[in-house]
Amino acid sequence: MNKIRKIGAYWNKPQHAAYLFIAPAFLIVVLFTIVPLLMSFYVSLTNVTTYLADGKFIGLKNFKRLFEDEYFLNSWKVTVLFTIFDVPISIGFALFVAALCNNESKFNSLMRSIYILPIICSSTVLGLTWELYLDPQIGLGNYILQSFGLPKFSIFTDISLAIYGIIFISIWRGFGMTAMILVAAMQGVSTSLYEAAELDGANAWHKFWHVTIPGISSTLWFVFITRVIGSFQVFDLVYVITGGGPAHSTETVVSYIYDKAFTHSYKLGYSSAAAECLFVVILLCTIFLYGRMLVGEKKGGVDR
Amino acid sequence: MIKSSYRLKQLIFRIIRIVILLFLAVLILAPILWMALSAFKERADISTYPPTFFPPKWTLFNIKEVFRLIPIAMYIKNSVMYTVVVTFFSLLFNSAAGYAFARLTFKGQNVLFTILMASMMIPFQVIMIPLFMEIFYMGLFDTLVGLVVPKFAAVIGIFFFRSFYFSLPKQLEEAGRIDGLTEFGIWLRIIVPLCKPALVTQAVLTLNSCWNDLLWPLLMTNNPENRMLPNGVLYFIGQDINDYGPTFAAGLISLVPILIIFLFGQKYFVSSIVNSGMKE
Amino acid sequence: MRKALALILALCMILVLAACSKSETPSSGSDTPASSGDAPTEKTDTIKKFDNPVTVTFWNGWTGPDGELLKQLVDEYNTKNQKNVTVDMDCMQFASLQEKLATAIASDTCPNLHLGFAVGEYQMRHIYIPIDDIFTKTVLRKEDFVPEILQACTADDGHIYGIPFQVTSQFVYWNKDLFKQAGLDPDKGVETWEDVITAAKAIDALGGNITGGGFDTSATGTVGAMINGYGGEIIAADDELGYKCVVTDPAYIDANKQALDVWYRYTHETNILQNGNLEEGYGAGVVGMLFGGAWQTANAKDHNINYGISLLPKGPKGQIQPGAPVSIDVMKGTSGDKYDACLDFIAYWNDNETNPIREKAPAYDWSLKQAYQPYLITVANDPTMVNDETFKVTNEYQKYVKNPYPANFWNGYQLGTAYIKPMIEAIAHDTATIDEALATCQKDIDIMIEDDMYEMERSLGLRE
Repeated sequence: MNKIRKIGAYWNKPQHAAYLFIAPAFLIVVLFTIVPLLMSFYVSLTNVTTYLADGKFIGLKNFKRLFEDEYFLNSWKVTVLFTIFDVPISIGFALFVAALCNNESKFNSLMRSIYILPIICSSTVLGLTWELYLDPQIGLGNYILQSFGLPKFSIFTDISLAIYGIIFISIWRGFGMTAMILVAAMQGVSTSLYEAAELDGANAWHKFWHVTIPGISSTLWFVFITRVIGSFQVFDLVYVITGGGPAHSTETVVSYIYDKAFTHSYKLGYSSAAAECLFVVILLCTIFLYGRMLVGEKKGGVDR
Repeated sequence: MIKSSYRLKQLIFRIIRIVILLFLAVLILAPILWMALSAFKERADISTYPPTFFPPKWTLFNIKEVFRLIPIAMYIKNSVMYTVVVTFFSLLFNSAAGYAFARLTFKGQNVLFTILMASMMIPFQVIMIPLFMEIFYMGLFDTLVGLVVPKFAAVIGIFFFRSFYFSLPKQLEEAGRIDGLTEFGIWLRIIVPLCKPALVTQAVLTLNSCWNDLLWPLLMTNNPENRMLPNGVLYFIGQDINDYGPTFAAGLISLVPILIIFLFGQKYFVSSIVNSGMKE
Repeated sequence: MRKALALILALCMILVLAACSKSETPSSGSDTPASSGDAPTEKTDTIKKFDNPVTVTFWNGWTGPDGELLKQLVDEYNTKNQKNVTVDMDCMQFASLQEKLATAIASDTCPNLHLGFAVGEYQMRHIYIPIDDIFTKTVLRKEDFVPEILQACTADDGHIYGIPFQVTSQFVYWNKDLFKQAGLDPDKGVETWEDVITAAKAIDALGGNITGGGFDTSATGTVGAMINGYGGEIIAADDELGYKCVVTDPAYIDANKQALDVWYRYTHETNILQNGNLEEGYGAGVVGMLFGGAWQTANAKDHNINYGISLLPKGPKGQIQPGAPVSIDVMKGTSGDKYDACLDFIAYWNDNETNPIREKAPAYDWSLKQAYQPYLITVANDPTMVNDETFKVTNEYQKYVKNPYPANFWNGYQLGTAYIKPMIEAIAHDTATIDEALATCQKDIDIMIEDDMYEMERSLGLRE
């Protein structure tokens, strides 16, 4: 009896209870993400096919081949371009929208519901819709733009425009979700802070910059880091709308990986090697951002 | 005098705000509404020049086609079950883990969190085959456990909750400990109620990702009777020709349940903020 | 922590090794003793009713309008067959099917039947099994099939790995009204690729939202026909290595350049539309010409387009038509009763004369209703088929079949989308000159042949 109580007391200490809190989630992640991830490290050193037949250990040969492949380097250019545009624009935009409609009113709540709509739709149906909507010949969107005097353009089949078309749709689809997360965070900022700021004579801009932003800094970091990771892994819109074309101009790293493992060849080893490169790059980015985040959170945690 | 000019300024600001928000709403809605309305168009009216927004002739043909050709009620039932189970458990596990990472200090905290973060960085398509083989050798392929359990935890969810819990005042736990609550009780009784907006937001995110999850349920089940909605939506998209009318109709049908949940969630979202006392 | 990691790693290694070292002897259904001594021309069905119900699984990517008819015909078999067989069909979208199939092959949980483009490749990897005994076990005979099409389902080892299921050639559709308005002969259409450019220019000149021509860059068959029509070649048989890429080969480079020059002029001198929703634009009556499969007839009819149809334009070397078949194949792991049941289903699909379940073979409906080219001789000669307006034109294709790659080149499907499509897109968008594009294409295909084919063949023990 005493022993049970002792065990209970042991696990009720915050520093021990923490392990119980994380155990279920951590075990599942380890089992179903980390283990396959480690397996894919090993796979990247073999020439195994997607069907897991006839694999031989070939060392770093896959990596050597990768860096000789101009399409792999090209896919990095495309991905970085995508990230550079997508991340700041979509987050800046979401922050702007969140600031405009974070107060509770029927109108704001309706607007937020509308902004979230694109993420609820399946990306395949969205892709089809946009393709038809912006069709240069019969697309309604293109028709409206033309009636405003814009020239006829075929955004998804033009080699210099296609990637920007994908970026546009990605932002169009994602900013509402980001805005919703930011609104939820803004609603969590204690009103007493605003009142205090008001007493100090702060205007709306000051309040936003000095109370809201620090108050939601940890959520902003969350949004920023996940969006960066998401951008580096952009795939589904590309796959549905352009399939990487025209002439590799929208082929992102994950499109390249997918292509090598499932579409044009079945080289799981080779495509895992490409994925490992992606992994390392995202990991370095995230470690850098995460470090910044910890510092930022310490500063930003206002009333702690 | 000063007050009225302040009011005027406020009024102008409000009008600008509303105009911007409405403009964005139109930008977002236009293609989606066009898709929804096209579900009620005849085939010849979907692709026509000049393009039309409203159906020149309304028809329920596409909706009927969907119900005739695919067992959509079964798909909806499967999707609802999958979504509800996964959402419930993932909220539980992710918020618990997020809580520990945000509010408690323990040995190896940063190391463990970094390991979790690392697992976000590899696209699913790459670990898909090894993951499948692992589940297959565990004997979980084509079982309910194999289908849902791997989805019970998501690093992005843990990370999300961590960010939210982080901004709560630190004194909360102290008060709970003084009241004699256990660590689990503190989390459940004090922290969770304060984070309803976060819970609702994360619930919507998870619901939505399960609802639109095409690949995972397809990989993990072999019986066509276990298929879910996203698979049905794609039924009308052929290799060479697409049947746009029924595709849009199926897309619309799959949108409705999640939309209702979301609108309901929004309402809850509002009331939970009012009740939680965060705004006082 | 470190201990735990080591443990995880060990587990992974075991899993990977177990997966990699899987034996790969094909559990071939052809091992079952075939009833020998039958004269191959005699039509006998040796598959008797099974004592216990047999269920075979059948996966394919035939969603969309095709899937509907396919489902009907499979259901008919399930309700009416006298042999206690049920075909459990699962239609998935093509991309999802590819992914699911990969996991199924890796874990040896393949379906029994599959519709595929890749007899050569899947045969090499022992994913399909030979079904030569279908001609002794069922009423089907080799003579029932158009020989070239059956040949394409036969691997280099001489065994048959699939029965043709669907053949798609490419045709020109034009809008007669737009031709008339542009002062062109609406009944003549276009005969050569030069005509295509002239016609497209004339229709473009009508202005407004009207475009002369449309072209789907992923239609490898059409591009191949264009290149072959000028005497060019992409892949050729090679004595030493089996196959080689001849895009910049001295024997063909001039012809290839000539063909691509026509493509260059077509894309630069006209407002040609690429990809996207071509058939929708054609349906809306604002696209003058479209290259596509015979199913576009239904599209034109649905939209009341006054359409014309003909074989593809000719090059200086004459008429060329693509025509690579899709086949229905039996997958590894299928044996015994299930194997026989698969054969019985395939026989049901193609038995056009003595079919016990329906008057005409499902293959007949498949061709007639979905406008695919017939591969059964009796279907091709059927009076309804012969008198059909569209088939009158499209059936002519058989005389001119030539694909841009040899019949058993096993990366044929990938060749088009992975290498030829980017090549012609680069030319169309001026990111490469014709010479550069050809050189890139040659280099990329060389790598593909070396890597994907020979390396695979080596690892399978088929080469040194």
